[in-house]
Amino acid sequence: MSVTNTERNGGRWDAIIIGGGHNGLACAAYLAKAGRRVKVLERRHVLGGAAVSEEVYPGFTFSVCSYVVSLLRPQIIRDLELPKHGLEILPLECAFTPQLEGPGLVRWPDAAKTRAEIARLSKKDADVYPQFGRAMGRMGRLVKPIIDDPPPDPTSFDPRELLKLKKLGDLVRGLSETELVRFVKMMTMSSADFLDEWFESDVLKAPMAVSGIIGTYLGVRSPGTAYVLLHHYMGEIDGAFRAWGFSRGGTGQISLSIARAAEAYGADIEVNAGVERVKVKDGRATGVVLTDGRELDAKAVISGVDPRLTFFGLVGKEHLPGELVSHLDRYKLRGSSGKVNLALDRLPEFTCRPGNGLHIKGDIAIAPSIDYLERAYDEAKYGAFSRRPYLNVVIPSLTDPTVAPPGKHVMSIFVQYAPYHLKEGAADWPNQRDAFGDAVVDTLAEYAPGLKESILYRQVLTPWDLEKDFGLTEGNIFHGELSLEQLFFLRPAPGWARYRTPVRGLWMCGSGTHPGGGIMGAPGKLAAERMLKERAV
Amino acid sequence: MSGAKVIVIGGGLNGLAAAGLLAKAGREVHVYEARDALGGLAAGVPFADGYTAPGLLHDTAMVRPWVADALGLAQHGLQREASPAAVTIPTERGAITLRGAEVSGDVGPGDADGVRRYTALVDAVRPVLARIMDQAPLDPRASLLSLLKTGLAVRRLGAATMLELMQVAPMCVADWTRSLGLSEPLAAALSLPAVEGSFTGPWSAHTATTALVRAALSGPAVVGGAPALVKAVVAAAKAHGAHLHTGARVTRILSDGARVSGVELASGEKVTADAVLSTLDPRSTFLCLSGPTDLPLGLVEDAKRYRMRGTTVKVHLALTGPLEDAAGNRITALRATPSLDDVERAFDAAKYRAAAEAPALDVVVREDMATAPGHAVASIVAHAASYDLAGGWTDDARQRFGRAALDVLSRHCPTVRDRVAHMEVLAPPDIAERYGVTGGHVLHGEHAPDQLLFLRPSVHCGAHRTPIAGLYVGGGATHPGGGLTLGPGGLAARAILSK
Repeated sequence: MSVTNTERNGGRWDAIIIGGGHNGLACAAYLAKAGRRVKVLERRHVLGGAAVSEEVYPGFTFSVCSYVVSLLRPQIIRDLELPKHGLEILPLECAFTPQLEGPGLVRWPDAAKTRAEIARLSKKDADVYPQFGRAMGRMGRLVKPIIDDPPPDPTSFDPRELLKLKKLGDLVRGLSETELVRFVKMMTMSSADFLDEWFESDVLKAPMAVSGIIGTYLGVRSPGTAYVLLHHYMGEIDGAFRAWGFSRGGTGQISLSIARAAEAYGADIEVNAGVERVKVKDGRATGVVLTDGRELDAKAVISGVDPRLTFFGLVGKEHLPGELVSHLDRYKLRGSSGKVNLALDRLPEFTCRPGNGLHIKGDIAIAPSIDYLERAYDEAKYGAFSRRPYLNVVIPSLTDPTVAPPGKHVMSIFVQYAPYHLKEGAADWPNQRDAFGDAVVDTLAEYAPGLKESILYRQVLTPWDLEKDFGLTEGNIFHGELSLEQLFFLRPAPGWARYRTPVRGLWMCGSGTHPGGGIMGAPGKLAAERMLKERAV
Repeated sequence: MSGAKVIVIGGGLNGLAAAGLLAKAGREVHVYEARDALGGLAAGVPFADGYTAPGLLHDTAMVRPWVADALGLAQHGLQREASPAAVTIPTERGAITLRGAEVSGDVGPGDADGVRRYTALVDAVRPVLARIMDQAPLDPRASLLSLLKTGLAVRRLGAATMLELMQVAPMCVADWTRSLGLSEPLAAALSLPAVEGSFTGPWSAHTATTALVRAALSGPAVVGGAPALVKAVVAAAKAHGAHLHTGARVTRILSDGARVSGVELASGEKVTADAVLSTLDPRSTFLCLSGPTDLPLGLVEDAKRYRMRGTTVKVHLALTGPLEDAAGNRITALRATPSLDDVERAFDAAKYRAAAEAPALDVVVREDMATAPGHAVASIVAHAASYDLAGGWTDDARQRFGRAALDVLSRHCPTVRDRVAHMEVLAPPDIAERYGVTGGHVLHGEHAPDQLLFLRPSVHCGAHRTPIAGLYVGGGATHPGGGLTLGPGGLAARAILSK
């Protein structure tokens, strides 16, 4: 890692970026590439934010938070020449859903094999499955221009804005009747209801439905989740739609490759540099004060942290219009997920599919039925973590041996639901952390009995930990719920969806801005482009 | 084709309203109603000797003024209350009284301001919502001009209101009401109308829209309740010359696949017509009455997919005295929903083929519907239970649900238990059976975004016309949706007349 810790002498920076997560770094890289003098400040000792790799246990590299990549914008990979800076994506090809009774379901890279698997559950579903994939692919392409451009402003009478709105309208009006109906359904229905219209087998529907709830405080029967399903279906690596992958060396490598690109363009990146507050004078951000007392000045301050932390934590309500304060009060963060990372002595063996073949090399979902998932959500709604949670398990060491000692493995378990707001209060999480970890391991061990004995080390991250350690307010991995009222021109607040803030000179570039969370890099890129266009730096 | 013959299937409020308007325009109209009573879900329900419940649905505040005016309902006895009804909302210590935009009683510190903000948004969007509800459904395929007109109406709200509307609309009603700073009982009470009848809970997205629409379209209630509304609509339809036939079940819609020719009745009689308007739900209309082979595949598929999972149980109580709280205050309307989580828990049950252990209750009390002086009738819309109850809706299951409802009610009205002379519990399958509504869904299908406007009940018949020439649809399963509004019947009649 070649991050410089040296401070340049004197002078004002063109831009200071708060937070060395992948979006902050992407923003830095684009600004530096355009010749601006950029400083990135990261509070932790490592870069990456929630896209980070760390050797938490000797010899084992965990992708501590975010663990797979799908939405990283191909344009960014190309613009910043990320492969040159160490980015390598290894495709994640299989999707395995173990069952307690029954053989489980594996969706393979090979369409014919997948078809045979699904046909065992339902002949009809096997026929429909490829049609569904094609339909979703078309929807994905439809939404793509939306996530690759800044959102329009529907309240403006500026002809350029009206033209943008018209373009969106044309997009919708250009759809065939079937696609139009599908689009409305997609944007509004619950993933369970949406999938019900296509499939009959619960064993197939449940693991498909979960992509609609990942990171959200919603259940598979909650309206609005079908859209998030698309968000995940849109995954693309290097231009190939619907592909998911691991980053070699862990998710942190994505951030590091962006950091190296930024540095190559001349950005200055500093770790162990926490920002205490944004300096505001006469309604204008002039720089930042660090926790170590240093003060840095800049033409523009750009926050890569979530909106509530940015405005309430770093800026202060007194500098904000009351309307924005009330919107941010209302802004839903409410983390709903946790993470358990395991260092394993050996590979797990699933009772329903013994052996350690290709089926455990991909994504393993503990999602046996729609009702199972919905019940997991019901517990969370009333302030308790799911005793029988939905788990999304990957074993990256099978694909990328560099992350574990020979013969050993790392297992990453994404867990839902773990509501930040426990009924005993969020501060009770440290008391419940172990019980939560046990519930996760116990659940998985029902499917893979030898698991407990093979655990060398266990790391449990609750939403409380995500907030305390990673600065994610309320532990929300997307910097704010991906629900319609918080997307597009409403993210993070109406009127402030284009990276600009009411504090002049203060900008946003994190997942709490359009187009939202996930390792996309799009907010960072779009923010940088917007600022350059408006000559803000 | 003045004088052409139109058959209306279903003598509910929508069928009657459409018949009245069509007859007024000179058509020969025959309404065929399978039951012996007219009025459908609004008809009075005699359920014990001397006691009649004010309709299966009892909220009459949403009647669309334009239909009432076009039918001349005022000349046929329709009167609306001078002021909004007072709704009692029990709290832990006492009760809140909500009357329009005013709250009094045991209010929380943020309640007055919260209700003011709630009402402000409702009032601001009322004209736009009324416009959308009172015209043919919005359709992105329609001419750009008509879309622009609606767009402009939204823009005229001003940037602040428009953004607030766009932000609130996709929310769940729990988030919205809580964000207004309302106390929990009041937030829950304002949320209840948004989930009533639906397969949703207050934590379900988009329910803020349902709440907003219902509040914005509500005016004063009809004097005399739903039965009085039925009486006025029947009188108007008759006065305009419509022929109303009860006990006449239509068993088939006759068509050659391209054009409708009439209907066949249970008696075997075939009646020819130039146009047929069905006010039944789409599954009944398209899967039962018309041969699926007559219809385009897409429409058949849509009718099958159309979501009608009824969750409402209707409870009727015959009371030997008034409904009173612990202090002896008389109650005319009450929403018994201690918290949003309680309403949500009630819905949870419905998801797993169960019935709520503590249902959320929307209670209306009428003393004029009991013949004995001093007696009263409590009409309770209870949320929620599964149509497809595990173990089935046995008499035992009904009794259990009734007792649960009574338990909830007695927390605030301790004397009610001693005053119940008779209780009737109508589970979703009972409602389905009695009223011919698939799934027992009292709104004729979920008010979900993909089942509203031009998609209600299907993109193939979203503007009250169907792919079969001369066949129209116009019940609660069409725009602007379920509830006692007369809107669908009015718009269907307009569609027929514009042909």
